[in-house]
Amino acid sequence: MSVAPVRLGWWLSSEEHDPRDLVRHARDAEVAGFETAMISDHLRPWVPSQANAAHVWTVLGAIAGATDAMEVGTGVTAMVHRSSPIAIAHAAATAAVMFEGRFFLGVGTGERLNEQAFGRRWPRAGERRERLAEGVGLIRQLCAGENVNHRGRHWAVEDLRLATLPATPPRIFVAAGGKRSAALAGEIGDGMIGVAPDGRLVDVFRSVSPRADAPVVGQLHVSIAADLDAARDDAWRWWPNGVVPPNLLGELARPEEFEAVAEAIGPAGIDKAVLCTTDAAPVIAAIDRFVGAGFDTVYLHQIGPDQARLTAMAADELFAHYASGP
Amino acid sequence: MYDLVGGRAAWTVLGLPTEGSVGDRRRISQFVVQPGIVPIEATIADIVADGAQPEWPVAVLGDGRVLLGALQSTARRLPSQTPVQRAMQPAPATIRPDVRIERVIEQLTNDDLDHVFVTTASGKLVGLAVRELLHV
Repeated sequence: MSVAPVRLGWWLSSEEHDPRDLVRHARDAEVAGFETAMISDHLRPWVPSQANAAHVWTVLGAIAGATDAMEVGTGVTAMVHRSSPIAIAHAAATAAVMFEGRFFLGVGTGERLNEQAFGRRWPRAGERRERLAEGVGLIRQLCAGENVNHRGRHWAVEDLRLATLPATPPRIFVAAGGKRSAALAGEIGDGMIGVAPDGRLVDVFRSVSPRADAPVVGQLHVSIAADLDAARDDAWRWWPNGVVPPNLLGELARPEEFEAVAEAIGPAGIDKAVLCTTDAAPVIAAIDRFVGAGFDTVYLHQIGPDQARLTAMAADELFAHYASGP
Repeated sequence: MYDLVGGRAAWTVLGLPTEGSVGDRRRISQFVVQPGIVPIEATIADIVADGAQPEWPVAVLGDGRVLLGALQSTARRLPSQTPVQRAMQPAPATIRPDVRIERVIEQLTNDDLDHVFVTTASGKLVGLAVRELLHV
């Protein structure tokens, strides 16, 4: 029986990079050999020093034109206040046309950071999961070209059929940080997105998902530099939000609050959030933990401006390592 | 022939024969299947999975068949020389062999899980309880 190889993906951090650089990074990653990429969808950066948060759908249009074969998805788009299922379906259907089948939609329950600007209350996680489930159903109908009339608990669509439609609706991956969201991912998603090598969440997702081969993809934060101190400094300078406890990530409203919490915790914990290294061996070990936990694709997020260091490591060592097996 | 060491509770937890209204027939130890196994000091190439379904997790075992970790089926995608210890999930969830089958089905259903490892109180692997193979 043939076994598919481990897939490595490229993470495009909208919070850290100018949108023109993101397009260049996507093209460079494809040239280096990456077959897939995910791009974060933020209204604001996590912390002020990151200084970016471009409109993801605009950047995606440019990436579609700058790449030839690389699959690209959002990581992840929320539907709370900022984006309605109509707006997301409209954008996702257009992106799927532009990417000619290379686009997938990553969705999640969102962060207050990206919703507070709309001046509405921040719903609890359970309500956000309800909004997500109802919204994903609508997005599927709209991207399939159906005429939709819907008045549900959270969303309304009145007599809408999208005009620009892809030949095949994009796959929808759902982010999961706990068992309830993993179960929801299995219920409504074509795949699951995780941020830690937690096999328990994969078990829950696979138990609920009707597809035995549904993709499970993960995100791995790395800071690769010439020496270990520089790697840690880069991680702390560009990704201090990494030390913020997971239960606060969805709850803080402003970049300044993330910065304050990170400063209060201090840089000592950055090694737990970001793999700081100078060489490929620790990166391979970390990828192996994801794969052993049930992930088939691992997206590598190189923190900071030195993106070329990861493309070089991947081209020189990572791809060759995983091409050698199974 | 068994030596009763540690009292009656320890005896039943080991899944050894008992008398009473529940009886051995209803205990999960009678319904487990054998997952793929691999020693903790081995590599991915050493996984032995005779008869195991590909979607079942692989049990990573130490001395005395003590369960130390688990590998999901995706681990087979790793290069064959990958050390098991590096890729495994340590300390997977387990249940004891004396748990009644109805309770196991209920627990797996409530937890949205397809399977769970069954080990003795000392951690020795008994097998894998697979929900779709369990019937009251």
